[in-house]
Amino acid sequence: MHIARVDLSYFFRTKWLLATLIGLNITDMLVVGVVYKGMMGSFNYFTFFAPGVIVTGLFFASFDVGRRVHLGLTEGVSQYYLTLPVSLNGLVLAHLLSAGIGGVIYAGILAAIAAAFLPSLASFGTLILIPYMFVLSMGLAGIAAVLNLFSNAGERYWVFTEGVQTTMVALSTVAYPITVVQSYFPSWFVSLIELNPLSQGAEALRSVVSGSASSDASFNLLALFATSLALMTIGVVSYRRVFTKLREVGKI
Amino acid sequence: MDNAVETLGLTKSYGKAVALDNLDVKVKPGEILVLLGPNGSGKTTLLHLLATVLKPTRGTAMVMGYDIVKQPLKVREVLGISFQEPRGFWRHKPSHILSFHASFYGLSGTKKSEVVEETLRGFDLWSSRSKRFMELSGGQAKRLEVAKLFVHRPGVAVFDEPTAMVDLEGKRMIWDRIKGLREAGSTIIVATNEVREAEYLADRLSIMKLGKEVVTENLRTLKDSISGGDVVEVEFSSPVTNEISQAVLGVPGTVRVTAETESMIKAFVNRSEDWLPQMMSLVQTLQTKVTSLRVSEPSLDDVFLHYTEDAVAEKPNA
Repeated sequence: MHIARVDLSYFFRTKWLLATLIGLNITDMLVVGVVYKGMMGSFNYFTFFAPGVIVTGLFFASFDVGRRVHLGLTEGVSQYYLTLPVSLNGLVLAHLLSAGIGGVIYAGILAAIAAAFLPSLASFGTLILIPYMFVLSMGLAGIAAVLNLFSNAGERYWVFTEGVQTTMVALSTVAYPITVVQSYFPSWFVSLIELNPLSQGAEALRSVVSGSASSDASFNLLALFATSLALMTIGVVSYRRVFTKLREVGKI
Repeated sequence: MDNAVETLGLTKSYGKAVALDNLDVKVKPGEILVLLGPNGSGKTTLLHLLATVLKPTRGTAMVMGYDIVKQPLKVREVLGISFQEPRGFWRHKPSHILSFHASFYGLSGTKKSEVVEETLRGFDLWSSRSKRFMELSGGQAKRLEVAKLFVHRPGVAVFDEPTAMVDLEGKRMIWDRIKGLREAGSTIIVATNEVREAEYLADRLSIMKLGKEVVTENLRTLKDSISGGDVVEVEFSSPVTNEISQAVLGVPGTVRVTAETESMIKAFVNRSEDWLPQMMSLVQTLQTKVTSLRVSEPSLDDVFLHYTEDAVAEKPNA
């Protein structure tokens, strides 16, 4: 827990990062959401888009654990952790836990801001979703763990992160309904977008906002939980390998 | 427990490069063992292996009875390491860093705060406690790195170049604290390539080269092990004859004799303390007079260079 707390505090201490993230997310939610709403007539794009932005925020915040681990590996803090009386599994879980908590707290801030315009977000349904969002957050951190595993050389991590984050947001229903994708792309591509944990998270939040998922994407909480758990398992395996490799080869 | 630390054929390779080669070193409880060696001699690798930061390729080591391969968690409970390069979270303050460290060793609440404050003050970091780690000077960051071990005072404390980047005053303070830690019961291993540090701290010295232990002994024995290492300048009241030179050369322990001036010779001897009484007897026998004597023993620099430059150096007790 000590490592999880320190790791998490490092995210919130990086103030320029937080300010940039919050600035971008709020700009997206309020400016893009409101402008598009005005352009789309009867379709309330803000109601559709705000949950997507909240899940994107959760994604970026939980993914930040990859940056922290990358810095820890390159600056030797991870080596220091290996000298403390903590097991390998304990160290791995601490990082994933801090990612999970960070993602939920950050998404909670965005949800609170959005709730000023979407009162239905401040409901019991949102509270029910918190444990699922927490597991989703840890699952998304699992993807960051994979990047940590395959990007030990200097700047490669940042390139991979940019690529993965952009691709995952683009290939999701965060910004557009699944019906749009169905009109233009083959079914396997549609399935891919539906399976994207960001789509599943966004749809879960939309179901709270509007009472049901606002698109045709097949959605249920069990699928969200299962996908998150699978990614989390990949994260555990990846971080175990990262730290085992560190003990074999020394400083990365 | 005969040894606080014992390495058993400890080997670490990175691909084909062997960083540590089949090392067998023993450290007695409560002693300060200094590892002295040039860069790349395997000192840091050894410390990282003992601290379980690295995994050995072959062999193992026992730390306070725990196996570093089979019981790394137990080893981490009894051994602490101060890294060569300070390890800290850039945006955290010294007090947070020490407090975090203390949390792992059963300290909490008021007791933890007291220990952290005492340690910060003891290492002259109290006034910098609110600075972020990235704002500390090199010397302050290094002192903070060393200070970590004084928060929990491990049974085995391992320091990797503890005074690198530290000013002269700070060096002496750290050395005295390390000695104090030993007095309090810890076993200490210090890796350094600073001869003065080694000379100040070491109960025993282990000279390493290319991943191997060249020799491990106390400083006195190491100095005595250099053949002809003690230099005695003898000035006679009359010119030195060939007969005198030959007689001096015949004194047991003399390696060679050179003429310095008409009336002075320089004798290169083993163990001057044994040689001098015999020399004095010789002077009486030769019925001559000695007007001055000057004895100098080899420095640790000489010892270090002797063992690290000579790849086939013999161990003193071999």
